[in-house]
Amino acid sequence: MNPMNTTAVQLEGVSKSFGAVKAVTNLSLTVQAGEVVAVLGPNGAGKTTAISLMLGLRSPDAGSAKIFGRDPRDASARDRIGVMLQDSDVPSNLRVSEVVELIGRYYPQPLPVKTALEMADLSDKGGATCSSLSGGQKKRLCFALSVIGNPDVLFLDEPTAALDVEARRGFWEQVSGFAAKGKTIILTTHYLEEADALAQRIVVINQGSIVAQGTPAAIKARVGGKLVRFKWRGSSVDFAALPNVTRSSVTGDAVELFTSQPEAVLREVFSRNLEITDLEVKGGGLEEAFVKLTQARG
Amino acid sequence: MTTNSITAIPRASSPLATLLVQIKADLLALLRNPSSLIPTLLFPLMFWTFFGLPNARQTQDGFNVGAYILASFAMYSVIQTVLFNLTISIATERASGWYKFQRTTPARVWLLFTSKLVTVLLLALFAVSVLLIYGSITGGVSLPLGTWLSLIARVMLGVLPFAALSVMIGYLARGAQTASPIVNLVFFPMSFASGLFIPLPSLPKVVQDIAPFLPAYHGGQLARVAVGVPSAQPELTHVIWLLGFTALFLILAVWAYKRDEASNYR
Repeated sequence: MNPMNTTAVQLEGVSKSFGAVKAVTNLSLTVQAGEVVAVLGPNGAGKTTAISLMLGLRSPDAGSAKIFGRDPRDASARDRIGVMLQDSDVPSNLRVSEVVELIGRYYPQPLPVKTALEMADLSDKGGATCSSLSGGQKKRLCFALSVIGNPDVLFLDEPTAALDVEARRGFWEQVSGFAAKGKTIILTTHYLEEADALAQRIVVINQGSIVAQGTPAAIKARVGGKLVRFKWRGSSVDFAALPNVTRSSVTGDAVELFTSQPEAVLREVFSRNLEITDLEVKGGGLEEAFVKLTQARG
Repeated sequence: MTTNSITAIPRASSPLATLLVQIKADLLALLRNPSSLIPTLLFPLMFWTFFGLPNARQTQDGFNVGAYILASFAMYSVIQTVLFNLTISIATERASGWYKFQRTTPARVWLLFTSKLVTVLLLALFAVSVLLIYGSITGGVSLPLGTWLSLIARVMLGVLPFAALSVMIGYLARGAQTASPIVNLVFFPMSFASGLFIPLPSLPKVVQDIAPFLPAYHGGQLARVAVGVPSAQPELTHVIWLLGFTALFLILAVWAYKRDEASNYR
């Protein structure tokens, strides 16, 4: 069995509505074993619904969801997945190691509790009561709970929401460590930097449909955006009308120009003898690509 | 596309072993929660001390008043334990997302549910044992061991409708903040009207007329028969009423569970 040719998770033409709200419309997504895929989109785009369908927490109105070819509600499918939900709390009166051991018991071949705690950087917190943990530590505990079953596929739904920058970077290291073992990871995020840092493939979702997908580099190339940013004070200039500027924004004295040809734009700016300060050219951030992709369909 | 065939992975632990670990975790969570333990263990002891003890050594119509009150309070103790702890634990876990997380794991809902039920029944058994030991020592209520055991068995039967009722409320309520007032609203008027706090003959006629339609009344009667208090109806009648209430509340509990499934997991 070649793991690279194995389909780990598959959504086939799934649709899901909640009352009149169409959360996901005819969405198809195949994730191969060993892939790290980021599902990216603004709040309310349908990311959590898509994950819920993959997990069998929700059943699709149309289409099908499969994990290793099985109904995600089958125990044989759940034996092989680990999950970190967005809004799950932990039992406040249990100790960290007790909760991790308990969840490990549900799985056929769990990791040792000690290993899971190490992976989540919680080795010194095993004896702590869950209610005494900080927000970041609780998130790490949820990560430990998602890996204790030694799953083949890891689902992380907005894992670093509400974490500070440092905690987020630490978390990325833990996830990368797990990915390095050849595991499949599907994560949702609205942090573009996070998708860029972790994923081999980015799937951009907006209004319940996939609007773009590819490697982080391919997504960037597709939009080809650079950001030219500077400060400037003076009589009004219609920056949007400059050649090669795809989008512009002026806030007070801060000017931001999106372009695929920053050199040409700068030449134009200098030729007009505008007195600018704090010049910056930011390279192909996903943020710009993302804004463009989601606005195109909006 | 190749589809991976899933071969059954041999389990590191049997379902029974998993259930035992789950029960242990549920018990620890309950025992470490003072806001649930204090009412569960101390309220029955307090009620006995204030209302039972002053009359405990009297005899009336050939039976011991202490035993009468102790049997009533025993029923009260197990109903309180089950109703509050089971309802609030189900409602809290549903609201916190913990239940949802557990449903993404291979754990089955029946296992989680069985564990909760066993846990709360064990706690009820403990609470009533503490009350009976305390009551018999302080009030000089002495009964043969067989009678004590029969009393405990009867109150555990009498609490079954309330286990089903707890599941129903737990699945209907949105979080502990909603569950707690609902349980209080059900529990105190019903215990009072069933004659668990004040003997029925001392209550207004209208309450006496309502009582036979309340599950706690039949539990109380059954408990008192065990300690030698005569009942107007045969014991079997009380058992049938209790089983009937259990069946009714079970149907409602299943309905509430399915309602929750339909709105949150479909």
